[in-house]
Amino acid sequence: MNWKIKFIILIIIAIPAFTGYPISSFNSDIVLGITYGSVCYLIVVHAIILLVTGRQFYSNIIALAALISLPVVYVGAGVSFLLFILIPSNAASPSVYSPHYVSLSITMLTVIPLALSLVAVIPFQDFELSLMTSRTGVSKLEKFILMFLRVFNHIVYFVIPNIVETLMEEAQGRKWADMALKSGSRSSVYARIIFLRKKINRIIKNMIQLGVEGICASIQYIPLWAVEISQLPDKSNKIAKR
Amino acid sequence: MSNSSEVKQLVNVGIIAAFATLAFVGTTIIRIPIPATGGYFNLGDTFVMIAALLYGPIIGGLVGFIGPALADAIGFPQFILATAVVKGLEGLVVGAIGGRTQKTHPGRPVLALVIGIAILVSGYFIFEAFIYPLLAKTIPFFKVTDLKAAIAEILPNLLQGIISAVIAFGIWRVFRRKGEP
Repeated sequence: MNWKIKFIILIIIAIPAFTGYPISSFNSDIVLGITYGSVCYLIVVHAIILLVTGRQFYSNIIALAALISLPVVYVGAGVSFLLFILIPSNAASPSVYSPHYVSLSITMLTVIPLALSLVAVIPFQDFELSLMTSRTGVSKLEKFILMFLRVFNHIVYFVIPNIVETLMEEAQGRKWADMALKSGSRSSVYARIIFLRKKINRIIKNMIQLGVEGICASIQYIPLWAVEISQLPDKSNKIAKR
Repeated sequence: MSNSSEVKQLVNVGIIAAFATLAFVGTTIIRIPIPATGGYFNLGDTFVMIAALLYGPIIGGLVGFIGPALADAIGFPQFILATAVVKGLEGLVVGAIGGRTQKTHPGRPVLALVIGIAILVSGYFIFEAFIYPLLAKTIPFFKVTDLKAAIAEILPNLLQGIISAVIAFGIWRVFRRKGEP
């Protein structure tokens, strides 16, 4: 199947997710928080993604959707429960917030695979290759798209994995440093406050450093790519020459 | 169009793409749900604010408009409209007040960040308390918040804005010492 047809099919089935129609018309509950509309839509979306993208891709995308959505849902429920224990008079009880998180998990398990499939069906590498080797010239808009895609791919596939790897290597060192700080801070409340202050300062410093490294790694090749892309033959020039 | 102006435009597109992607990643990776509203706490604002401080209002505004809204498309589609408008405006105003001020006193960037936080908090409040309930009357999709939920979200949004601004200011100071990236 042509990627454009796949893309159009996915766009059409994405409309209810981003408008609410017609899911909101079938709002009677199966269990509290899960409506017939949302479950039917989930099944339809998953069946179409499976048909359009294939079994291998579908299984990967489901794993990724679970990895992204489950922490949000569980942390949300955890925070709500904590609030309920700490301030029972003002916070919602588990019977009130549970349907919300059940519904959120259904929404996320529908929308995440859809969004990822929409991005994945576009053959960015083929698109880039066809533009770079185009004999008919490249329009200004295509040059901008090319630049955007190149930067996006560079960050997602190169910068972020490298940063994650560095963070994981540094995490062990930080653990030991924390243990050393903690062992010296058992003596008094004042020492514990100092320990906490040092820890917060270090977290902020690390985040600043991470931000600086991320920005520098993300934008370092942009001037080079801009020169390279600007040298691609212009579509209007080609037409004028003819 | 001369080649150098096209290169400049492409560099700007690249910078918008880079910061929008970083804002998207920052918003997607750290997501702490806010029970009262069904929204979530994130640090994507850091990249909107720093883009605005380093490159000015247009780039800041576009980064705010694109990056966090893309992240909302993954899991929280109801908030795309509010996020695009509020964070686009945040980037625009922070950039207009404190943008491209690497050689000046840090007072202006600090003022810009404070106003940016105010826009973040008040913008979401206006959307969640008034605009979404109004839209929900004709489009049920937007029936996600009300005045009570909007009030409950003021504090988490304020915290999110302050933490993001502190990190953005720290990054700005590093680039101020070393020169624009």
